[in-house]
Amino acid sequence: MFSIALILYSIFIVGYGALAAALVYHVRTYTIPEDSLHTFIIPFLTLSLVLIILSLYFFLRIPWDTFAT
Amino acid sequence: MPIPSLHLEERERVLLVLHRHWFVLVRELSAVFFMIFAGIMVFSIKSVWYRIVDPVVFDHIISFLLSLYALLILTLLFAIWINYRLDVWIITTKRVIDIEQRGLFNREVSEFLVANIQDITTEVPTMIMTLFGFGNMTIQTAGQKSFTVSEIPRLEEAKKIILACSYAAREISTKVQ
Repeated sequence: MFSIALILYSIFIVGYGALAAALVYHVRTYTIPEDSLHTFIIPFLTLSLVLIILSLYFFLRIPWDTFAT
Repeated sequence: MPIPSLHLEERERVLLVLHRHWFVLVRELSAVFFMIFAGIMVFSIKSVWYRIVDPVVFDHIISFLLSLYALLILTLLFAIWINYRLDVWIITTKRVIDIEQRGLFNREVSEFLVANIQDITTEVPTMIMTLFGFGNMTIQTAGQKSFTVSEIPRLEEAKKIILACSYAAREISTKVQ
């Protein structure tokens, strides 16, 4: 059960990383320099990293043994 | 207001840069706010879930799922914000540039010369648009092609600027001939 969940979780994180990269690419490529949109990249990436670490922490805290029995 | 990425010609100046009205952003974010509210509701009725699932197991699972949910909401918020800010309408002394971001990796950029503008129509069709002061503008060019920009603020100001530039461009063209 843990293995399956870990695979699914990894797929989600990889997919999220691809989506976040696409969003950052759009901001860096298409935003005019005077636009304030650039300033949102760092907070977005920081918050994403915090939430990913948090999700990993909660994922490892789930009692997977109870599902195996 | 120099914007190097626009590749302005010599003696071409940017006169006005418009994004869609802030009400459009609020409308698009309302769905996200509803999602946040729904997540909070699911979490707040955990006493009901405790009757079905072991509380310890449930708390850990719901914390994990909520963190993933927060990630998705964060991405959605950023995507909506990007889509809003990347829709730009730029009026210069020579051109009108319409940049429309239709989603990820789907972008349309239209340019037309102000000298070719034949007709400008502005409309404010709804009560909300009237109250908040935004609307739609349709520009007809000499090539019978029309451009419509929706839900932009400062309609009259934009129309006056475009018409002034169009008259000036035609005067210059007449003098040259």
